[in-house]
Amino acid sequence: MDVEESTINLVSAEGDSSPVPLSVAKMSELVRSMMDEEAEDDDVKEIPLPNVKSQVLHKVIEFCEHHLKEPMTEIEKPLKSNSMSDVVQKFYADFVDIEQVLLFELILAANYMDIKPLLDLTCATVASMIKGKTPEDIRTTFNITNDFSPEEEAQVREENKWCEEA
Amino acid sequence: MAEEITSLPGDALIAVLSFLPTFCDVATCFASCRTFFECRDDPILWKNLCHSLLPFYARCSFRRDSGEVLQWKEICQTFGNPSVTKNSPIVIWLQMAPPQQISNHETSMEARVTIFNADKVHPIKLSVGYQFMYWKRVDLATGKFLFCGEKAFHQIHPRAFLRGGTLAPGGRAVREITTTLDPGGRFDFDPFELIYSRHRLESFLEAGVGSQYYHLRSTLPNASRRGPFQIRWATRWKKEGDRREGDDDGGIYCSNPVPWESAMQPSGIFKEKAD
Repeated sequence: MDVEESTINLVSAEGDSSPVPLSVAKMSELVRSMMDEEAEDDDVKEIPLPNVKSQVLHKVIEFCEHHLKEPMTEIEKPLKSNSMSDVVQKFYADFVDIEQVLLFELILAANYMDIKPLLDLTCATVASMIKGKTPEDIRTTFNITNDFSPEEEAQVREENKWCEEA
Repeated sequence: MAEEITSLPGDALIAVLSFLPTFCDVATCFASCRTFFECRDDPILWKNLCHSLLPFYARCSFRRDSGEVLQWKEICQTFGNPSVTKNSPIVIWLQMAPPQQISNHETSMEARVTIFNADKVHPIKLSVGYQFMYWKRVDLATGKFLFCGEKAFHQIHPRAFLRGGTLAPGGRAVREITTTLDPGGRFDFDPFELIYSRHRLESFLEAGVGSQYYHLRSTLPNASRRGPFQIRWATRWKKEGDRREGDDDGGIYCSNPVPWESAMQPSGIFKEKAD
């Protein structure tokens, strides 16, 4: 009979508590270190994550749970394809097939919680959206305002001529 | 909350940039908006970027002969402006070693390639590691060095290099390679490794146009099992039509090839050949 793994509650910015197995929670170096720091106290029952919204935390947990069952293939640098399905397993490619806002939130959460595979996956996804594009394409893709003055833009363009002619 | 890519913190942006396959992609990103643009002159971010972009390599930096590290802006200027290159010879220093050798400098090997243009006035120097090369096309005629991350050095078609060449019509170019092993004396050196590396260096230097001279001078101060010796070797390239078909993968396209095995003897076989 399997021994049930103990759980810990991860508490989102909104105060929602999500019980997760320790092995899942410890994929976050932040959580791991917080648990280690408090190891001498009573058993840690809750880890507050005030920078992570509930929706994002659920995605993070989903990622970590799956990663324990099917570890993500390490993403090679540099990125070989614009399609994440060429780079990682289907689950992970589908996982990041999400709106940009959520993708950026996941990057922030992965960065904050220090979950390297999730950070790699999300950053590589953004990179795949940049790869091979022009500055104009990049602005369009990410809805970025061109905040260069005409003079600055001309200067940047001049500096990057070597690149445009490649 | 990050609703826009530009609101990501700098280290996250660098993490994104680190996956981009070429310096062109990175430069394009810099050109898209001020947030990215401002990444490029931050020395810490740049250093991280360098290390991230070339994760297989122990070190990657761009230096002048003085040792001064170039910043991104200077690199763009260098690549994009032939006059800058000509007036300010740049050493592009890519010291490369497999990851397991990163902390063991003694086992790394450096190779310096000095390429002169026809009038030998403006040397352009490349310092390359022997393990991998990381650039896609080197156009010395325009001073451009275009990087990509597509292939390791030895996988790149040799004719991809130096096409367009440094040679003035009818001119003579001297390509000199100086390979220096670490002088610390702890390098467990196998001469045949040099053969291999030289084989690849030759691929790199292969130009295949006109009559050119190719010098290889290796100084092996601590080849402990063979004793110190120097190698000087030169040969004359035949014209392009004399290439051996199907032998493009690092093949030797010289009219008077020296067999590697005999050439590696420390008895002076690698002496410079006359015209």
